[in-house]
Amino acid sequence: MEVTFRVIGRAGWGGLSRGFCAEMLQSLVKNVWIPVKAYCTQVYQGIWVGMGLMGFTIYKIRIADKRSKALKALSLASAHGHH
Amino acid sequence: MNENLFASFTTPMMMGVPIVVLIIIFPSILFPSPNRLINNRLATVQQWLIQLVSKHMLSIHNYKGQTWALMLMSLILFIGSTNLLGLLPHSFTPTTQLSMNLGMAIPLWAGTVVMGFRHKTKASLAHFLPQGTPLPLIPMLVIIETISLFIQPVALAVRLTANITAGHLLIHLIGGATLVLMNINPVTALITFIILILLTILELAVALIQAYVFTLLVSLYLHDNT
Repeated sequence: MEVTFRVIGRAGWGGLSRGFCAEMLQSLVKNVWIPVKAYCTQVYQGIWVGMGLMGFTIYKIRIADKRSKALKALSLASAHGHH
Repeated sequence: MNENLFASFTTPMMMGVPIVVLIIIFPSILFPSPNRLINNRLATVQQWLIQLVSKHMLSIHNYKGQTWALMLMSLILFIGSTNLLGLLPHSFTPTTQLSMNLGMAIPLWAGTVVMGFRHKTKASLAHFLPQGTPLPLIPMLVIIETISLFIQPVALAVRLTANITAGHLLIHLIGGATLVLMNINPVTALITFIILILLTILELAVALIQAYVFTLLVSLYLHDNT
């Protein structure tokens, strides 16, 4: 209840003041990041490499798809233009 | 009918906004993690199940492999709960999408391979040639083992996708057939309905088994590399 009043009392950005954001970030770091820091920085290094590889694959697939769609549109437009 | 068959696998939208992320996050609220010593019944049963599965799954690993306990348990819980929730009517199952399963399989497989090459380079390279291979067969076998290594993540993802998608499609088809047959021949409809019930029980088992197989294979790849 007290928190709700505090949030509504501060103006600007729908109650998300700088102080509230800082409190949220601090709570996030203390409750989420500190427990998993050792895992994310040491144990799962290979997984970050794998995620990079996967991101690269997705990028390549999307670029190829965009290029093939552009080529198809161009060939269709040129076919219509000839007629 | 053809369009309806695959409609349940399209991206779920609510008023033009894709809600896939919400659906993927949803199972996590079914697993509360309270900070009490003695919990309520749901949390106690879940903790008991997690302890049982983790004890069996991590018994084969050494110290380095057991650092992956959190990842493996999260994986089996996520895939199991997502698959089971997908058996509810009109629900969307994220694990029917190959993109999602590749997104899980590739980083995990790459994590195990990178770990193996970093910490045990000679042993990892030795995996490319089985012991006792005759000399003339060595080049071909190295090529085959390399292909089999790179096919591992694809096989992981496609196995899960195909099993869950096929199950859902079958339920859809047989359910549709039961409805249609009810007006034509009620006896045949009853037989089809019994088949549908048996299939649903099978799909319940498949949902859990596929989660277990995915996690077990990742665990085996990890064991090979640690």
